[in-house]
Amino acid sequence: MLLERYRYSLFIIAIALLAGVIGFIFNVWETHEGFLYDLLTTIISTAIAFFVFTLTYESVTRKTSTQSMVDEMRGLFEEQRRLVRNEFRDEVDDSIVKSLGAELDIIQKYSSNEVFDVVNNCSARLLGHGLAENMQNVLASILNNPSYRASMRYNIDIYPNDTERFEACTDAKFYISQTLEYKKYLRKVDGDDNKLDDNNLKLSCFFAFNKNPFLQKEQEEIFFLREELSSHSFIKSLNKENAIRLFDYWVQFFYEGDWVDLADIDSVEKQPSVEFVRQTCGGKYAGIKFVSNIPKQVLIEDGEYIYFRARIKCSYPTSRREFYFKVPELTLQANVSIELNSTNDSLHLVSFTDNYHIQLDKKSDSRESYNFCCNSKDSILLPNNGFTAVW
Amino acid sequence: MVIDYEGCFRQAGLIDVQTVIPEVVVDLKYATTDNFMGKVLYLGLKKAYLLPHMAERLKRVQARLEDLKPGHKLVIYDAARPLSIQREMFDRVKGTPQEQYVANPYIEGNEGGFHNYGMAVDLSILDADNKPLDMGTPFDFFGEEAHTTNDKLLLESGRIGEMAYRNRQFLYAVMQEQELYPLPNEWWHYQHFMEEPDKKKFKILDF
Repeated sequence: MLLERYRYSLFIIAIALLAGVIGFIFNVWETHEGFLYDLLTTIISTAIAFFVFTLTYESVTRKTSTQSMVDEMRGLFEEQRRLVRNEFRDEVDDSIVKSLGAELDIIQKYSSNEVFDVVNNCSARLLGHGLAENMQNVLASILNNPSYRASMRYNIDIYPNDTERFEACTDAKFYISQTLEYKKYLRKVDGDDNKLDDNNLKLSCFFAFNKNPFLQKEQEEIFFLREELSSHSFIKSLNKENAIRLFDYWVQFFYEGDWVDLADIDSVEKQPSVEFVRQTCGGKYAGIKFVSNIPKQVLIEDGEYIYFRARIKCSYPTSRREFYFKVPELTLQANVSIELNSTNDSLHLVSFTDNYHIQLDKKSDSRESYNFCCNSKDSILLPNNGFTAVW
Repeated sequence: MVIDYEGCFRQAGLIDVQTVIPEVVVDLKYATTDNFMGKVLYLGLKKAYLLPHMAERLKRVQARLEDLKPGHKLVIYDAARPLSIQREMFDRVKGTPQEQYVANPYIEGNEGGFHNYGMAVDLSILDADNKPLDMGTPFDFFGEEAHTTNDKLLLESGRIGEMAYRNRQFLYAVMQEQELYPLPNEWWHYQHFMEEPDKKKFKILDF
């Protein structure tokens, strides 16, 4: 820019300087040959100076201006490309979303990364970047999860502890009887289309002894059912031999259109195994675990998943007046019913998630029941969704 | 910006205590300047909100009061408290001896106290003339005289009077009948669930 602005001044100064230099050289050599000779040498030196300067000047200015022009063009080009890319991506998102909505098979044409990109872009447009980022984190945690649940039916009945069954448990004013069933979907192991991780072919239920239900060791494992025991006298009475009977624990699998006991499917494993689990630190017991094998006959293939449908039933006394329900993994279509069978107490249910339908059904003076429903075809319970019931 | 506290409480599943117990008196100290902060914290909030199980238990306490001392009624000084107010209170006492009396709202994963979940209530008893019973100290008194762990010693050392001692014992009794228990350092503070992990079973009032 500087060279350009003063190009003519520089040009004249350069000619004068060169003429002076050449004249000086001739003077030094003392070769005065008259006026014509002087004129000729002046013209020649001027022409040489002009020629040399022009070459240098053109070379420098051409390089500089070309460079700045290229930079400017590149910036504009990048901006255009960014705008076009964004616009194109939005259009592509819309078309993909419409396609997916129109025909589910089309989803197969896209990789999971592409589909995730679509969801990310759409959620960013709809929710803004902050909320969309949160949603994407939730989605990522779900997508990375190797399993989910569907068609959950969970019935919890609370009774006053005035029967013979738990009469020895004097610290328990109530006992809880529950039935839980759902379909458990397990993602097939990568690279092997028909196999599951052997660890997944176990059905485990865990009853924690500690009041803190978030023991680190057990937190890593997802159980079919997980509960918290609060009656110390009941905990003390448990051993490996009597545990199944005291809990009145049984497991059934859905097999060939009917609910069938494990013992009727698998002749080897007639009863679940019972295991006392120690805490990670210290020697205290953290809880008791019932583990059943899942017979291969009950496994059903469904795309990239294999699922089975199981039902468990159990009862145990409680010294606390609360019941805590939380799903540890994605659950589709859940219907949870909790019922208090007592004339002296009221049942209160508080959801710690939003927008789930909770309905109180007061069946009689002695029976209050809540339904925590999530029944519509597309409704889901996200991990950690649930409620706390207090009576 | 004024937050619609009541709307937020209802959305979190809390209920207005007076809808369950119409006779209870609500005198939220943090909605007035009569508190340790000396300023109004609850702008636009005049009602006491609690989780349903707390309101239900207070209803039974009120019924018991009517039986034992007709004309007496509960007076609620504080109930559910938004986390934003908790932060303001904690910032005020941070680094002072009073810090022990205000739950820390900044502990990641265990923010705030039981008030911030609607699980705790601050209260006392009014007599038939609507005067608060003598409990030895006013509400929000930061000192040993307000502690609940050794009332007998406080009485014997003359730090609380005979009447205050008896009134406290009466309050503890009617509350504990409904499985509502006081904190060790506040005679006015009651809750049903006493252990920290219990908070995780409810929703924090983060607004």
